[in-house]
Amino acid sequence: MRQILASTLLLFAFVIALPGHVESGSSVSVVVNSKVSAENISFDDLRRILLGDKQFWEGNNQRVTLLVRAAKAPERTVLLDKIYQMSEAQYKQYWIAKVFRAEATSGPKIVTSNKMACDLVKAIPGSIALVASADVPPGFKVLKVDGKKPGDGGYRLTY
Amino acid sequence: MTIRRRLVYAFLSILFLFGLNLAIYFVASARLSGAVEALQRAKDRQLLIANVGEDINDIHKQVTLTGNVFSATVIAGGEAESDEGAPSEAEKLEQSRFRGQLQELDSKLAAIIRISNVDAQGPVRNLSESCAQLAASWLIVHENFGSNSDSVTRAITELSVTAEPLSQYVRETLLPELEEFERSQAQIATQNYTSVSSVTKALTVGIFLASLLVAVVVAFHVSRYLTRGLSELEAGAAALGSGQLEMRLKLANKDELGDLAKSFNDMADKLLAAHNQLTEANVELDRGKKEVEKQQEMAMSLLLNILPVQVAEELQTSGQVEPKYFEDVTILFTDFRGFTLATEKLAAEELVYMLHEHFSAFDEIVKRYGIEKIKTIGDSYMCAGGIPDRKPSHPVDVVLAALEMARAVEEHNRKDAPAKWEVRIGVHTGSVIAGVVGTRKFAFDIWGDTVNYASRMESSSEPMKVNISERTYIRVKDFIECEARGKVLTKEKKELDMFFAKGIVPNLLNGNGENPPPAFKRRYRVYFQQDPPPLSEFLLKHD
Repeated sequence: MRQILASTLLLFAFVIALPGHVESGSSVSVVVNSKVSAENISFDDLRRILLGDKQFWEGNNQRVTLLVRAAKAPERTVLLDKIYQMSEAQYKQYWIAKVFRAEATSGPKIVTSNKMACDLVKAIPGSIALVASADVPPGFKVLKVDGKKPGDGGYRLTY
Repeated sequence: MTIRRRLVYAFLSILFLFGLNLAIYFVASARLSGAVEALQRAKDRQLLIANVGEDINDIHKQVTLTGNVFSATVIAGGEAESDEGAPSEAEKLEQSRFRGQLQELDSKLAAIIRISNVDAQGPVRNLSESCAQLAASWLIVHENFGSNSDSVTRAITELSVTAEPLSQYVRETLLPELEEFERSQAQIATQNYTSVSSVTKALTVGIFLASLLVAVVVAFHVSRYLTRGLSELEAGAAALGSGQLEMRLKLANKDELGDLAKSFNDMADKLLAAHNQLTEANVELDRGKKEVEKQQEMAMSLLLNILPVQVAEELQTSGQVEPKYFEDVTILFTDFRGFTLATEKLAAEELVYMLHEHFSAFDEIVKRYGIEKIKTIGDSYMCAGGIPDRKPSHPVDVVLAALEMARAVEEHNRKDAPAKWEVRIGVHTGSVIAGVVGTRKFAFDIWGDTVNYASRMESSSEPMKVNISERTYIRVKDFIECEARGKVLTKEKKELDMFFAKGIVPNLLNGNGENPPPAFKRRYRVYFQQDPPPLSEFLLKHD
C-alpha cells in the first residue's frame, strides 16, 4: 500500500515537474510589446484584435502582430475555445479566407514556444501573444482583460 | 498678266496646297506615331506595373505561406531545430528560386523605369527603392524560416516589423498611386492620340477642301476668262466673215488674248484697206468693162451693119468666115431710072440725101421681112432672102418686099421731093456662094449665076414694076398674083420667061380686115411652118 501511495505521489510529482505543463485552473496572460500603450483591454476588443478585425492599437496606432502558439499547445486551445470559438480546421480556414480576401496582410505568426513568443513580443512593436501566465518572464507587459489580471477571480482566459 | 502665267500660278497654287497637305500628313503621321508610341508605352507600363503588383502579391503570399509551411512542419515534427549542418539541397533550390523571383521583380521595375518618361520616373523609382527594401526583407524572412528558433524568431520579427508593413505600403499605397499615375498618363496619351488624329483629319480634309475650292475657283476664273475672250474673238471673226469689216475687238487685256485681239484688229484694218482697194479696182474694172462692152457693142453694131449676124459672130469667134453654099436664095435688085440724068440736075448732097431716104426706106422694109441687105452700088440696092437663115418663105418675102419698095418710091414721089424717081426691081431665085472677102473693111457678098440672073431681071423690068424670073414665079404664084410677060430678050440677047408681080392673090385677101388676112396667113403657115410678117395696107387692097 505504501508502495502504491509512494508510486502515486512520485507520478504526481513527475507530472507536476514536466516542463510546460499548465496546471488545471491556470490562466493565460495577454502579453504585449512594451510600446503598446494600453494597460487594460475588454474581452471584446481582445477578440477583435485576435480575429484580425482590429489591426492597429488605439493611441499610438501601432500595427498589431499576432503571435500564436502552434497547434495542440494549451495557449492555442484557450485561444480557439475562448476567443475564436472555432475548431482547428475552422481557424485555419478563417485565416486563409481573411488573407485571400485581403482583409488582413497576413495571418498570425506561429511560434513554437512560449519563450519564442515572449522573445518576439519583446522584439516586435505592437505584437501580442497568449502565453501561459507561469511562463511570462518578469518585466513583460501583461494586459488586464476587462480590468482583471491573470489569477484574479473572473479572469476569463483560463483552462 | 499673260494666260500662261495665270495658268502657271494657278497650277503652283494647287501644287502648294497639295504639298502643304502632304507635309501636314507627314507631320501628323509623325505626331500620330509618337502619340501611338506614348500610348503603347503607357499601356506597357500599366501591364508591367500590374505584373509587378501581382508578383509582389505572389511573393507576399509565398512568404506568408512559408510561415504556414513552417507551422505545418512544426506540427508534424515538433520544433524545426536544425542547428547543425548546412541547408539541404531542396532548401538551396528553393532559396535560389526565390532569389530568381526577386531578381525578376527587380528587372520588371527596371524595365518600367526604362520605358518611363523623365517625369514619370520619380514614382517608379520610389516603388523600385521600396521594392528593393522589401525584397531584402523578404529574403531575410525566407532564408531564416526553417532554421533554428532564433532564426525563426528573426524571420518573424523581420516579417512583422519590416516586410509586412512595407509590403502593405507598397501594395496599398505605392502601387495604386503608380497605377493611377500611369492610368492618367495613358489617358493623356489616348487624349493626345485622339487630338492629333482629329486635328490631322480636320487639317487634311480642310486643306483638301481648300485645294478643291481653289482648283474650282481657278478653273472657273480661267475658263470664264478664256471663254469670254474667245467668244469675243469668235463674234469678231463671224462679223468679219459676214462682211462687217469695220468691226473691231475691244479686248484691252495685256496677255495672249490681247495680242490676238490686236492682231485680229490689224488684220481687219488690212482687210478693210484691201477691200476698199478691191472695191475701187472693181469700180474701175466695171467702168472699163462697160467701156469695153460699149466699144464691143459699137463694133458689133458696125459689124452687123455690114455683115449678117451669124457671119459677124463667126468672124468674131474664129477670125474668119468660111465661104458657104446656099442652094436656095432669092435675090432682089433695084435700080433708079433717070438717076444719071438726075445727077446732072441735083446738087451732090441733094442726090445723096434722096438716095439715103430711099435706101433707108428699103432698109426698113428689108428688115421687116427678114431679108439680108447685101450692098448698094451707086443707085442700085441689092438684097437677098434665105441667107444666111435658110428659111423657106424667102421667095414670097422678097417679092412682097419688092412690091413694098416700089410702093415706097411711089409715095416718096408724091411728097415735095426735089426729083421724081422711078425704080425697077428684079427678082430671081437660085443658088449662090456667100462669103466675106478682105481683111479690112469687110464685105459680105454673094456670087454665082443667080446674082447675074437677078440683075438681068432688074434690067429687064419696067419702072415701078417688079420683074420676077420663072423660077421665082413658080415659088410665089400661090401667094402673089403675077402677069406673065412671055419670053423677054435680055441685054445678053437671051430670051427668058418673066413675070410682073402685081400683088397678093385676091382670094387670099378675104377677111375681116385682119393683117395678115387669115387665108394668106393659113397658107403661109401651111407652106412655110411659120407666121407671115405684117403686111403693108396697100398689099391688102386688090386693084
